[in-house]
Amino acid sequence: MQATTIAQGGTRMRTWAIVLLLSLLLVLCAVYSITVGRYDIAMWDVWLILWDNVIPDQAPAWTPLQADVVEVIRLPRILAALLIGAGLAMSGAALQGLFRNPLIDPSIIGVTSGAAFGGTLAILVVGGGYPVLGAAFAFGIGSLLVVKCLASVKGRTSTLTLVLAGVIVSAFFGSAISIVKLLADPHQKLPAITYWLMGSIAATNYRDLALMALAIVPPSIVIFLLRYQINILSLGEDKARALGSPIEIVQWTIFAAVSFISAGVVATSGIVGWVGLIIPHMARTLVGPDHGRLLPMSALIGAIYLLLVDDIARTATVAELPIGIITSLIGVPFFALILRRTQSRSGWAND
Amino acid sequence: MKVLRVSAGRGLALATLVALLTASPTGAQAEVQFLDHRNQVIVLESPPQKIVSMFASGPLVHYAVEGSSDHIAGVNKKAKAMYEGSFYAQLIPEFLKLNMNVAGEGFAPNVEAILEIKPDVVLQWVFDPKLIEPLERVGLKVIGWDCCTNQHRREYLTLSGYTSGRIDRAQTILQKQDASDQALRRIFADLKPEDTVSILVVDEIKDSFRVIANSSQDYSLSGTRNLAADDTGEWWRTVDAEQLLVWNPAVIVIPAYAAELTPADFYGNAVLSNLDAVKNKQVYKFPQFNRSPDAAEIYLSDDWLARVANPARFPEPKAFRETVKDGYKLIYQKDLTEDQIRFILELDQNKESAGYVDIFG
Repeated sequence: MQATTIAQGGTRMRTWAIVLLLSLLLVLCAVYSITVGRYDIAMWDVWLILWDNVIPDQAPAWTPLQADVVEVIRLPRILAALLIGAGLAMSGAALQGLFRNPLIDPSIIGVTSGAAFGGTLAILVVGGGYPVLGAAFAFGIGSLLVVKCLASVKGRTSTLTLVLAGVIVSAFFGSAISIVKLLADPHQKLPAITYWLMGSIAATNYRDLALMALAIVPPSIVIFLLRYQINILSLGEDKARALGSPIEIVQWTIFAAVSFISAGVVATSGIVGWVGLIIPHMARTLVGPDHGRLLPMSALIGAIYLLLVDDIARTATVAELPIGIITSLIGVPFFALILRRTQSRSGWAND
Repeated sequence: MKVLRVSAGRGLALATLVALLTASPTGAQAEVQFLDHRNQVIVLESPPQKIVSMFASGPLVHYAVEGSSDHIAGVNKKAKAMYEGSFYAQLIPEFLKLNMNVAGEGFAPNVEAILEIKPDVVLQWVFDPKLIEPLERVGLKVIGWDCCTNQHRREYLTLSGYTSGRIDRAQTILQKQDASDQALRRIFADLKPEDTVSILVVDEIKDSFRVIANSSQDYSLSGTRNLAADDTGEWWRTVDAEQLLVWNPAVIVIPAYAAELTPADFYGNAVLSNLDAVKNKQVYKFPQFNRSPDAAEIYLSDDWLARVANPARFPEPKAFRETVKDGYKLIYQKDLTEDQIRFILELDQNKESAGYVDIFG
């Protein structure tokens, strides 16, 4: 008993140490990211520009152009990268626990495809702006409702049916996106649709950021509040039922929260894939499977990861690389690695 | 008959042809042979009665040289947007009624639709042999046009001159272009390259910014330098907002074909608010004579840009309206009204931009 308490205390200490280290790393990465870019600005000037918001400098040594680069271009996208990375990673960790499958990510429930279709349709019909955001979000949430209708039989939902319903909805919207692309003007709207689908936070402004925060922060809090229920569900449905867990309510609350995050991300930034799949694995190797630790750890690593991806996106070439491309390039080999490892361990460790 | 080379030894070839045509009172009907941009010999026993063009600028150049649209029988579908959304809809309204089924949004020919027209010649780009092969396979005579250097654009006039039997018109237009260029060269003769006005040509603002990088336009004619110009041969470069701030151009110009982009889009963009060009309200929309870079009146763009970027070097700014009038009269043989000149000069879109109304209004 005493040995267990000491071991738990050690784990907690270790977790706190890792959280502290990663938090420090996050701050360093964010500061570094503000100084990185085509426009050359010294780190000291960056600090002065930011500090000017707290105590205004009467005789600033920087130019208005430099202030724009820091505050209007870099800062909103850095905050966006943090939000999206944290939100998607938490979503992935929650779903992997819920489905007891390490190869699951938020796109599995069809919300990403639904939101992507909504956005492409809006680009085709309206051209751009907030209608794209609204349509993507509405179709994302709508696709979750369709999945729920397809997967629920007599008030109960089996995991397999739910995954299959997600596959059906994704396939449907995938085809619908192809039709939209076919109808789009090949010189104007088709490139816009293609670029949007690849995911980018290049044009994020503070208004977009506020909307993004609205779609990501509250659902992330909900997911974190349900961390113990996710722990119970990750033992398997039968055991969870025996322990008195309200399985259906927890499942659909998590799905709704994940859908809000995914639809919000697609609506504001296009498709940013693979983050929800690979980041929870990194977090699990550091703090283990307890979702009380796994969820915040995933959020931290996800934020750092997407921040670094965005740094690559905006500095690799003079053109902006869509972040969705980079996350895919990193995610695919990582996915293959996980697949090999899970095969060698015969799937989910608890089964 | 001597084969006339378009690209090499053009002067000699033109002289030979002019001599030939002037020797005959019915010169327009004399057989003519010339080389197209593939270096393929084109033999025309008489000027073609039906010409189909796979691209929008073909009919424009041909109209300028021949002086009528009577022999233009078809053009690709993409041309519709260009003609409808520009001054050409007023200038040559008959183009809106052309058969546009000969190709879709691109340049791939709809061979069956073209065969129905039974054209004497088809104008097609040469950059992809697959665009020409299906036409020649069914026996159609194709005149290949290459793209997109200044020299190519001059030769479009020459090719249309040979095709229509009006090489004299082609020469007259070329002389007009040359005279304009020479006048501009004289004005900027003393300007060192480092003293030229820095500009960017931006045609799209979305998540990124698309700028013209193609260096085929001679910006020294207007006393400017394109900061995005490179030698990669690519027409465009897509850059992020930071790159635009790094360049920080003194003047930004928007091509006329970027129909939905206006100077107001720049003035209202928070990210660009401290760019010199935006702060000083020096973002300008190119006038309608810039709508097609291949059209004969494109030379007016250099003159216009020179006046916009270096107004101090033009003591009589209002004279440009007459220059425009003269140019359209010579090329399209039409007298422009005052309203039409205002429309061409995009006075409405440029009204907020520094000095524009004073110079061109």
